[in-house]
Amino acid sequence: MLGLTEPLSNLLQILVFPGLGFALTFVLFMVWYERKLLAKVQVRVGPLYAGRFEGILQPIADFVKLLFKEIIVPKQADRFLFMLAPTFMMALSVSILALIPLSPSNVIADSNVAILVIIAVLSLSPLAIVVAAWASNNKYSLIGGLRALHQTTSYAIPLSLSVLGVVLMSGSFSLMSIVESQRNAWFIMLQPLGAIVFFLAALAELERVPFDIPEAETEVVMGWETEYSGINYGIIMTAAYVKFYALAVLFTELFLGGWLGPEPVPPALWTIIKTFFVITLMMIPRGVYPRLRIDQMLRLGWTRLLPLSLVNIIISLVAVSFMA
Amino acid sequence: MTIAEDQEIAKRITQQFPDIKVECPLPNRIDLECPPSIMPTLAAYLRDVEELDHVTSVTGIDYPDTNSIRVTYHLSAYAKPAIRRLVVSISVNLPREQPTMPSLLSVWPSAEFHERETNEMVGVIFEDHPNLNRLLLPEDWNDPPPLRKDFKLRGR
Amino acid sequence: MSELVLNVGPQHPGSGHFRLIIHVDGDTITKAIPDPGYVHRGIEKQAEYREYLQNIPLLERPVISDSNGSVYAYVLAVERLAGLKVPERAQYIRVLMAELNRMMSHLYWLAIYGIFLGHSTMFMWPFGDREVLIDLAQRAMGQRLTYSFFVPGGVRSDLPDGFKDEALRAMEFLGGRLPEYDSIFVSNPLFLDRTRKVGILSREDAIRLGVVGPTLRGSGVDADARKDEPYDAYDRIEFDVATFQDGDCYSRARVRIEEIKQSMRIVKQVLESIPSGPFRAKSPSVLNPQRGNVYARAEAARGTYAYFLTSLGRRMPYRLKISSPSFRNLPAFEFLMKGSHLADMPTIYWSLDYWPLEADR
Repeated sequence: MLGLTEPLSNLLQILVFPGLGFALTFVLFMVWYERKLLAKVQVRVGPLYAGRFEGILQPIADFVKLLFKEIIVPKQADRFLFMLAPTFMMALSVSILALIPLSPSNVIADSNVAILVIIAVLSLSPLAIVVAAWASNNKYSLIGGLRALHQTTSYAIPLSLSVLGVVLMSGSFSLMSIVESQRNAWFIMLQPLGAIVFFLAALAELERVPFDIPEAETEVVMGWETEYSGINYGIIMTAAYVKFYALAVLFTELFLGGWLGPEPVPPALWTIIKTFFVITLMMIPRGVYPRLRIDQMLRLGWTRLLPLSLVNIIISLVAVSFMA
Repeated sequence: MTIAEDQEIAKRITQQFPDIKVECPLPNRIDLECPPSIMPTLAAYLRDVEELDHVTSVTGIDYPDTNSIRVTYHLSAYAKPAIRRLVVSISVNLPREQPTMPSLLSVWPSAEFHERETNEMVGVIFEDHPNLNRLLLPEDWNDPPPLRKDFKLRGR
Repeated sequence: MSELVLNVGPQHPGSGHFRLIIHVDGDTITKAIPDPGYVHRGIEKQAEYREYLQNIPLLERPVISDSNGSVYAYVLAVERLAGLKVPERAQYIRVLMAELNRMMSHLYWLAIYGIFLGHSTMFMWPFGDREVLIDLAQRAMGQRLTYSFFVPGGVRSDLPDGFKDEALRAMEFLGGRLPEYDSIFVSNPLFLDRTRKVGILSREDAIRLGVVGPTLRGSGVDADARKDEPYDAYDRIEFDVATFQDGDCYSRARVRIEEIKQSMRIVKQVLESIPSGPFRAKSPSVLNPQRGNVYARAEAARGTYAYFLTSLGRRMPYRLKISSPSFRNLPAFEFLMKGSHLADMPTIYWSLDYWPLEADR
């Protein structure tokens, strides 16, 4: 493992592909894609003017605008925690990204307990949100932050449990082995229940519609993000989209066979194509559904998703013992 | 839907309350005028016997030349479809310096906000109204009630 | 957590220009006190300083989304006081324009309901479709929203050529859109979850509080000024009064969508059977009605609009009292929001279709 090429290629992987460079570019593309998709559903045009082609540079324009805005820290806010929270969120999202391979040769930090680590890191996100909400010193932020806390903790459990079925079927916590064991059949066909639960729980973790109560602007202005302006807000938004991207790739690798696909197309590209499809599916509810009320959402998580994920585990256990 | 039917109702009211003035100038309208003291009894009668179940508006009109303020309640009915077309008005004339009258909130809960507005716009005091605070005007309004005639708009 | 007092104040994405003081305990609202008056402009006082004709642009302004509905009752009142007889063609034109406004207002209502519920498509589609109606109005009356088209004695100008075909095409377009609204918005399971059994107003309470409009008709009382005391051509046109029994936010939403359908029905009948003739009665340019007072009411989109007009025989009204539907719906706020979830506050608030400018005048 000595020599100059190894650390250099590691650095390239971290910074360019599949690391930061690629992730951030993909995130910019995702922002544009979401706006265009939603616009078409709503009989509008979406971004049109920034950049030659259909406003493709719009996210960059927005990012630059955020850079130029003043960072306002409320007078009575806890300054240290207030500025720490966005960075904390970004760190969480990016760490998940480091563990997810795009293909067997494109991985930053491979681990044979990758899934466990990812779940553990994801479970820290409620903490970041509460820190942001508390540090803002604002009634609306507090209400939004508590709602987000309820939501993310309630849905972290079905999220983790739905993954267990996959783990049982493939016999390993490592993402590489999980994808490898889907050579015969993608897990979405063997674990449909798990896939549905994971999909919904991921939507709730990301605070996307119909689970976007914490930022319900008609009741609590922007929820826990209310006091964040300028690049602080930009970092929070980027962290959210990086998490979105990470969870989508995770779904692809857990249920859709990851990088497995016919030869002429390189495996990393297969992952990206499938992720793109998953992302589209996750974006569409935004144009179709209103948001759920908090008690309805909590009821959904605890009384429907949780039992479903447990049932899924039992079925998987039975299936695995039959096949052994 | 004729003036004849209105006049039947008007006759009934006159029989019950001989001292009040009753007029039917236009179709579907009955106008009553009575002294403030018998307002609550008249109101209860209209609600219970004639089944007029809600207040549609309360108006205060300032007549400085006759030194009086005239408060008019307009009533209508929802529950009885046959008299939905009818609007009955009760008017009282109050002295301009001392415009107090009993509140009809206990008879018709729908009068609450209307009486509050009349109070702040014309200055009529409704006794027994639980919450006679400012509704539309700002809390620090210090000038005379705006809909009085001595409050003149500048520039016109 | 002890009780929080929230100011859903005039500057808040979840209110109009209207303040709601909400006491919330955890997730339950314990008290909701409406505090109107932010946009009070003294319209009633100003009306005493303008001639009868000049009052029409003034009285349109409080309710720009349904301006014909608000002015209709005033025009009827002045006509009764001045003894003007409105020609038939003018009556039909007025009904047509009032119903177009009703549709516009209800589409606007649906769109803003989307914002309150967090459904962005429910915001975009009705606003886009409303443009079709606004274009139609602009063709006929020259303005997009506040027309000053109704005058005592009739309307200001006749319908342009080719209006009938354009209007029928617009009605067809809208008629095709309504089933889509039904499938995506009204039958949307999440919409049902948010609005069913929320903010229930029973029939007795609706009558007791004196509410008007779709709020009343969603609670099972089929009162509608167009049927109870028909004015203009309404007694010669067939339509139904949309009434639903449950009294929750869902019923009120269904009432409004059904009213759009009924309005389309009225518009088609009017276009088929409109007679020819003058569009305005001969009247002096400065009206001088007789002494007396008159109370006239009309059904606007939000409910019954009523004007109590007192005249002393001069050029300007002596007193003009406006009884607007939003003001009469105010008692419903406190009554309905008590005991509900905090997230139901926007749902209930907008299902009452409260328009602050109209309530404050």
